[in-house]
Parts: sequence; C-alpha cells; structure tokens
Amino acid sequence: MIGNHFSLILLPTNKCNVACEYCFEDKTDDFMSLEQLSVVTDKVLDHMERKAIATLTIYWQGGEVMLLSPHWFARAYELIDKAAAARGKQVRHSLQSNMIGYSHKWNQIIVDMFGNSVGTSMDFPNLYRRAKGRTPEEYTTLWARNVRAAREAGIEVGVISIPNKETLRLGAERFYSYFVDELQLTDFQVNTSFSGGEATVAKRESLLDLDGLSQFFVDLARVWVTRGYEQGVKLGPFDELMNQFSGDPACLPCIWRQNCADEFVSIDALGHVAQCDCWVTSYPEYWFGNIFDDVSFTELLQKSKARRKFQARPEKLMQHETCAGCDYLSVCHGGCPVRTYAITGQFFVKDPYCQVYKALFSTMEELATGVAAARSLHITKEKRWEEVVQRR
Amino acid sequence: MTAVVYHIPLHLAALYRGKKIIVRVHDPAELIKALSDSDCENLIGVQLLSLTMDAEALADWGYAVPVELAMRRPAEEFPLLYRHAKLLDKHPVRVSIPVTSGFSKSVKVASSLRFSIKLAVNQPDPTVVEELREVLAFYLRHPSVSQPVEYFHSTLLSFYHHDPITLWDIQEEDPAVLRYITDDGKETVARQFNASVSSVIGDLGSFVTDLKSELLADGGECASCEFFAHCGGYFKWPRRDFVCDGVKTVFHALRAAAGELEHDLAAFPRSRTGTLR
Repeated sequence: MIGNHFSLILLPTNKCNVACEYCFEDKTDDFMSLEQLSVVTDKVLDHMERKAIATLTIYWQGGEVMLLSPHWFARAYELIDKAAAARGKQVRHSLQSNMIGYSHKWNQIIVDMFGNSVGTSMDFPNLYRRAKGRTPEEYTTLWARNVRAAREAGIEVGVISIPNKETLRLGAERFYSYFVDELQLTDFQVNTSFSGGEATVAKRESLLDLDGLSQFFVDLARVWVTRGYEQGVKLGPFDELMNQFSGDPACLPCIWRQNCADEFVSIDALGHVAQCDCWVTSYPEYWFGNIFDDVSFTELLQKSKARRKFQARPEKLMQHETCAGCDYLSVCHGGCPVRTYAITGQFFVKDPYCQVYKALFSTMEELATGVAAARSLHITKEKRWEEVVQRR
Repeated sequence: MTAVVYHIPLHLAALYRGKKIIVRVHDPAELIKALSDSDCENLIGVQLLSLTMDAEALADWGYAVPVELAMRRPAEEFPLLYRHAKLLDKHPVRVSIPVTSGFSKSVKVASSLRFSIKLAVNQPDPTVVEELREVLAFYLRHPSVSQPVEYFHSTLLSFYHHDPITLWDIQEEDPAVLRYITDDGKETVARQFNASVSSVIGDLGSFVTDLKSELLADGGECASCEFFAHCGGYFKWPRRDFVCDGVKTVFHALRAAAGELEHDLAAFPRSRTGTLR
C-alpha cells in the first residue's frame, strides 16, 4: 500500500452467469458504470500521488467480468489510460474470467488491454462448477471448448484449480495429466479451498482431510518436477517455491506474503472496499468503507478499523502462535486471513492449512536442493529429474 | 580522509548542520517535521528508537534514507518488526538487535522480513553465547536468510578474502569514523546499549588504535589471540577482564565456514564441465 506498486482487485460487476455450488460470493445484479469507474480511477490515482506510488495493477474479476461487453472494457481502458498518463502513472491490467461467456469478440481487447492473457478456473474432476439447471459435465465441456478457442486465437490461458475429494482419490498424476496432457496447458495453479459466504453442502465437502491434501500437494510437486519443470510448465505456487528455495527471485502468492494489507485492496461494483475479492463479496462486516463516499481513498484506508485488524494480524500471530519459531516463517507469515476466518471463525490465529503448507514447503525445499545436487552430480539431463525425485 | 559521521539525537540537529549526521529519534513524524531539505543533504541515516511508533510517515518520506530500527528488548519486541516491514519498499532498513537472552527470535523474524541485521553484541554474557552460536548457524545454513547478519557477514567475507577488518569497523563503532553524541551533547563511542557509554577518556580519533596498542602491550589474552586482526580488541572494551572463550568459538566457526566456502567455490568450475547446461 505504501510501496512503489499498488494492486487493486476490481469487480466491475457483482453478477455472475453461472451458479457454482461452492462459490463464496454473495452475488448481486450490480454493475459499475463508466462514470463510477472514472471516480474510482481518480480516487485511486489521488492516493497513488499522495503515497508516491508509481505503478498500479488492476486485477479485473467478478462476479463474471465477461457479462460486461468488450466495448465497455475498451472505453474503460481508454478512460484509465488517459487519467493515469495525465498523472505520470503506469497501469497494467489483468483479467480473470470463468470463460463461459467468451467469444472471438473478446480477442482484440484481450490483446490490447490484458497483454493477450487471461486467467480462468477449472477443477479436476469438476464437481461443483455448473450453470443453473445444468450439470458440471456440461459446464466442463463448454469451458474446455472456449478455452481451446481462446488458445487457438493465440491467447495465453492460465488456470486456477481447487482440489476436491475426488481429486485426492484420483491422485496427483491423473490431475497433472488432465491439465498438461489432455488440455495441453502449460500454466496452471493449485489453490486451497475457501468456504466463505453462506454454508452449503459443497462448501463443507470442499474442506478436505488435511493429511490427504498434504499428500496430494507433495505428490503433485514430485510429478511436476519430474515431468514439467524442465519442460517449462508453470505450476503455481510450486514454481515460485522452487525459485524461493533455489535462491532465485520469487513472487509468492498473496496468502504467503508478509501482510496482504500492505499489498492490495479490492473494490466491488457498488464501491465497497475490502481486503480482497473474498472479503468484499463475503463479509460486509470487514468492509473498509465505500469509495463513493465523500472521503479520499487514502483517508478511507487510514481510518478503517477493519483494515487495522489486517495490519495487526501478523504481529498478533507472532505473539500467540508458534509461527516465529517456524522454519518457514519467511515464506508464509501465518498464511491467509480469509481462509483462517472462513474455517475457524477467528481472525488472529494462523492459517488452518498450516500442515499442508509445511508439507509442501519441505518437499519443495528438498526438491530444490535435489535439483542443485543433480546439477553438481553430472546426472544426464534425461535422467536428472527422475533420480532427484526417486532419491527423496 | 573520510569525514566523521555524528550520531545525534534529533534535538541537537541544529548544532550539527553542515556535518554528516545519523539522527536518532523516537517518533518519525517529529523527524520529518524538524529536518529541512538542506539538513537531509547531509543525512546519512535515521535510527528509530521506538518500534511502537507509527512508521508510515517515514515510509512516505521520499528520501530513501537508510533506516535502523533499534530494538531494546528483542525477546519481547520481535512481533513489532511487522509494523515496519513496509519501510523496505522505500528505504534500506537494518534492525539492530542487542545480544541478550532470547534475541534469536528477533533475528529469525527480522530475517524472514528481509531486513538486514546488526547484532549489537557488545561484551556478551556467557549465558547467551550458545544462542549466539545458534544464530550463527542459522545465518550460515538456513536457506531463508537472504540479507546480511552483522558482524557475521563481514567477518566471514573478511576470512574468505584473507583481508582482516576489525569489529570496530564492521560494527561502526570506531569513533574516528562515527562519533556518538549523547543526549546531553557529549561525544563518545557508539555503543548505545552500554551503560558506560560516556566513560571514554582521551582522544576519540585515536581511541581504537590506542586501545589495540595497550591490549597488545599488556600481554594479556589479545597478545596471543589468533583472531586479534579480526577483532581489534573489540571485546575487551569497556571491561578489560572480559573472557573471550565464547566469542572465539564464533570466530572459529566463521573461519571454518569461509574455508568451506572457498573450497566449494574452487570445486565449482570443475563440476560445471560435465553434461549439464
């Protein structure tokens, strides 16, 4: 927030075109108008000037962003670009969509505004993603068709996936094979589930046995190192952990940053400001305020009691949890507040996925060491990764 | 010849105008209010004496001036370091950690937040030497450590390059180079955690040279110490009767690690001639 870069997760609509059973968002039918976007842009740029922040990344999410038109985005792009240029600021844009509403009409704006790249989501197997009155299989078919079309148009597609009970049963090899061999994706990411919002059967089911989930992550790390790492397959967050434990520059996901309150905020279509998309759509009691109120964005953030809780969280964890003595403190800092709150109902306790993270961290540390050792042991390129993995 | 740097309390800033200064202050907001742009031209660094104060004002201060966070009670204060992590976006930041019982938690947290660290080691109590050795092992071996931990880091490099630098230089405590100005305006040695800080008698410009000569002439522990070139009698001040057995084990470990590093790096080119890219 007071660094040289500012990240904004912007939800230009709270509406969605599908009805995934485990979705954490309390959706509404609201859209942000271009006039409202202009107010948001000016207030954010004012804040950047006050805090001497040079660059901004806007992560466009929903709801579902493709419920707005490519034309709306073209005008939004022009509006933001012009306002930022007048202040000497740089703005980058990133797009996250479920791709259900994708058509070739989106191609040009994805090139112009989003660097020809889009992020989407899919699980394997898909148990909970579906359109109203349709099956998960129908959803998967439509999604896969649209993703294929986008890739054929030259768009880079990255996928976020959340393991479910069936994922664990089928195992890491099958999971990896689905994304890399069947879908031929080279960029995907695995997240742990977040069960915010109204309780449902799917949300209860999505909280997996931690031993099983840990084993899945460990197995997946080994599959990736054996089959994908050298071939350029990006698998988040494993790839960044590999960088981290190899001593290379790493960009770890927000759940493991020292304090997400220093990094970004989210604004929804009604102007509510909160820590991230999860908080803004699930927990009104944790809103920082509303950007359309008669107050500067800087003041809104400074005066927010809710935000102060986020800022204080790592400090409290160091006082009351075992984090300060953990070997992996530098890559975790107590984990994600929203996962913690959604699962435990408490704020100032460490992330309940601690066990899973530790299993992954120690595995990636071993694998990174093994990779370095393999290099010094003169193992042939073809054999190197297999031996590294088998030795563990 | 390098100009002497003065480590001053904020209220004496006017007296040292035009000189190189490090300003120590409890509240960053006071500093920003008090210093003019021309004062900042000679500002070498800022030392924050309180970790409970809001550092946001300093984070927004556009001078990218080096900041030192001075801890007093490292066994208790380590959670407070999180409040200051954001300073790194705009300033080089170092945490000064007194080597007292329980200080290792502060080292681990500071390191995990990617702060540089200076161990204010002074004359360590024998009961904390084991903890000091554990921290050394952490610095040498733990993969998360990405920033220097002084005095270990410069001493290790000094052994590696076979180019002795004394702890007086590494710890920035040679008054010929850096002079500590007490709150009542007296010039002394920059060991601000030591009660006898104002007890220096004689010429501060030759303080370290004089001390070294005296220690060697005494024929005591320093006269036969294999690490004297790396220490410079640092651990024999202010109490000459300090027994160095514990701190020597740290020097031994650092010298061994430098040798190991030298060996590994010498072997590295040979390993790169194999089949790997």
